[in-house]
Amino acid sequence: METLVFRFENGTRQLPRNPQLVGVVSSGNLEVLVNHADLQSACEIEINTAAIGFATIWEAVMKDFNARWQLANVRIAINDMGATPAVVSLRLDQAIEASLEATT
Amino acid sequence: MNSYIEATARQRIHALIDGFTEILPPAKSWTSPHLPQLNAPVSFDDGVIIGIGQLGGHRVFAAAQEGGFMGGAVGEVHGAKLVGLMRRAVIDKPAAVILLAESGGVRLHEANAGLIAVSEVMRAVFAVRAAGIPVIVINGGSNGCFGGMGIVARCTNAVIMSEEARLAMSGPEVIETANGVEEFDSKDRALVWRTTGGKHRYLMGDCQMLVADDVAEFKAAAIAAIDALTGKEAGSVSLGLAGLEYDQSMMAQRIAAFGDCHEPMEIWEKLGIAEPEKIAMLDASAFRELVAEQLTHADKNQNRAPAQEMSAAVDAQINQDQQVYWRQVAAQLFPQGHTITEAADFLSGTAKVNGITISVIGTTTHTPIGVEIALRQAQAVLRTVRDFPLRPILLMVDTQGQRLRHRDEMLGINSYMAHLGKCLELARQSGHKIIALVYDQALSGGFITSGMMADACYALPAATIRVMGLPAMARITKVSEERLIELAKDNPVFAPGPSNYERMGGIEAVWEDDLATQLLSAFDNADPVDQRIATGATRGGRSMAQKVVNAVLSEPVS
Repeated sequence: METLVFRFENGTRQLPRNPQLVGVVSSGNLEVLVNHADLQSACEIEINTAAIGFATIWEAVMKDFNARWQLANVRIAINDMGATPAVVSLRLDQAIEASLEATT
Repeated sequence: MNSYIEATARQRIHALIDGFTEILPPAKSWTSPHLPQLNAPVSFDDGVIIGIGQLGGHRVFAAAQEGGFMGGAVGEVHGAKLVGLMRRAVIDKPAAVILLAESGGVRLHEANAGLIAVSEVMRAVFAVRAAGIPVIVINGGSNGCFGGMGIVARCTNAVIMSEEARLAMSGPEVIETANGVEEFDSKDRALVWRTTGGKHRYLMGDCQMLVADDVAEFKAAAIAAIDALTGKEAGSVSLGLAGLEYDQSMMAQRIAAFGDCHEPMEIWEKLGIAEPEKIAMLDASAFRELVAEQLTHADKNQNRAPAQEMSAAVDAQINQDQQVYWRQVAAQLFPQGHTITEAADFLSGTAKVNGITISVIGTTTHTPIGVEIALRQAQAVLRTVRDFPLRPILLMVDTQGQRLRHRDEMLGINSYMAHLGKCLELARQSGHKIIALVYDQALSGGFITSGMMADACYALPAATIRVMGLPAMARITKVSEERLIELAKDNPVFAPGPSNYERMGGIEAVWEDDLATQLLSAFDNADPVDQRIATGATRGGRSMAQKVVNAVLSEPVS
């Protein structure tokens, strides 16, 4: 297992306070838990992954994600079982969309 | 049409249960403490979602196992969430408990905890039923319902399946590995589904409702089951002697009628299906219509047949050889004498303990538990309940586990094991004290419905207790044997043996000497309430289970 933590400062988009979970920790898949947290407008992402040695790819995927959403005061926790970058991006977007939908 | 099999557990439970409120939701992060030690990923809900909601206007408790995570297998936290939900149900009294089962059984990464947990779930299910609340299983996931959860499913009031689902004890791959491809070709998917799939289980009576792979159909069937089980016409949802004696005779008939069959289609033909080869192609509703039309055997089953004596019991080979190990143990246990005899690896008889007669039921020579011997044990338990009220029962455990045969799976071995568990539970509820002693071997599935159904289970120091050996566990977890032994020093979940089970509460105590005195005090101290989770917490062998149960019981839910 490998644990990676990314933090992106100065986000602009707030999410509702209710936690949101999407995905399943199964082979080639992951679960994404989105939580509100007081992080001085930052978004913090902690990844626990079964696949070791992919930190640079994770970093690229997380930077893309942050560029898309610019989240503020959000803590994201990921349990990963070898998902591909495309699946990771998809699940992250699903989680944020589900979180936004839950308010309306 | 909204596929059930394609949905995740969380999607399923929200689709089935109206206004579902989750208890211990993922944000609370109740994860397995054991998986990180093996370098395996955790899940925020440990693979099971539990909570409260409405179904067909009834207030229900519900749980859904996620087959994608570790095959839905039961670990310490996962099992404790289920036990906690059942215990809360006994207090809160919902109309029903709905279990969306999808599980390979015991989670091999935390095998000792999983094995104990599955037996705790069984007893918790019985406690819910004893409180007059029906428990209903929905089984429609791609991983099926296997191992200990296959037994749990048959401990409930009703099982609802789709054709795609499977219900069994041992997986086809396990059987093929143990006994060869000619025993069970796990790659023959059609054979696998004929043997374990929903249609076969429905025809055999191990599944009460068969529906299409559609969330709405599962929901309608679950509502119908609640209405049928709680309606004015409904009988008792708890266990009773008459019902279990009826089951006993049905299960004996099943072996007599189909025990010689080699292929499920032969059974279907004997049941009266004119063209069994066409069964596989029918959709759920066409299948139900055909069965209603052609199933003559089911009508016959309605006539209560006299319980048949097991044929093997007739050619009993009484072995008086004092060298036989169980006789040595019995001599130490019962200085006042006993009448225990051995017949085809099955032990039964009576013994005197402090002047009181007890029933002794057990197995020997590490015999694998197949359908016949499970039924023989059940029969001995039922006889004690019927003819000797309050007589204490001692279970002498020596088994290498469930029998790994295609025939046993075809006949529904998980149902036979569940039946044995029900009979022991009936004995307990009828006031019989039940003590188990692992005097030689207790392995995996064979242990769940014998020793682990007792009020308390004890072991001799040299006994072997495990789900699987260390080499096999090392292969599955990809952690070396040396490392597992090292880890087991601080965490008994990782290595076999009586002392590890004792630390976890699964074994009450290991008897070093003076077995007769120990047995006497075991009966004196027998407690009909399952205390193993609390014991495991006190002894420091299971750090999480009690906390999880407490959290489930105390979490406020609107």
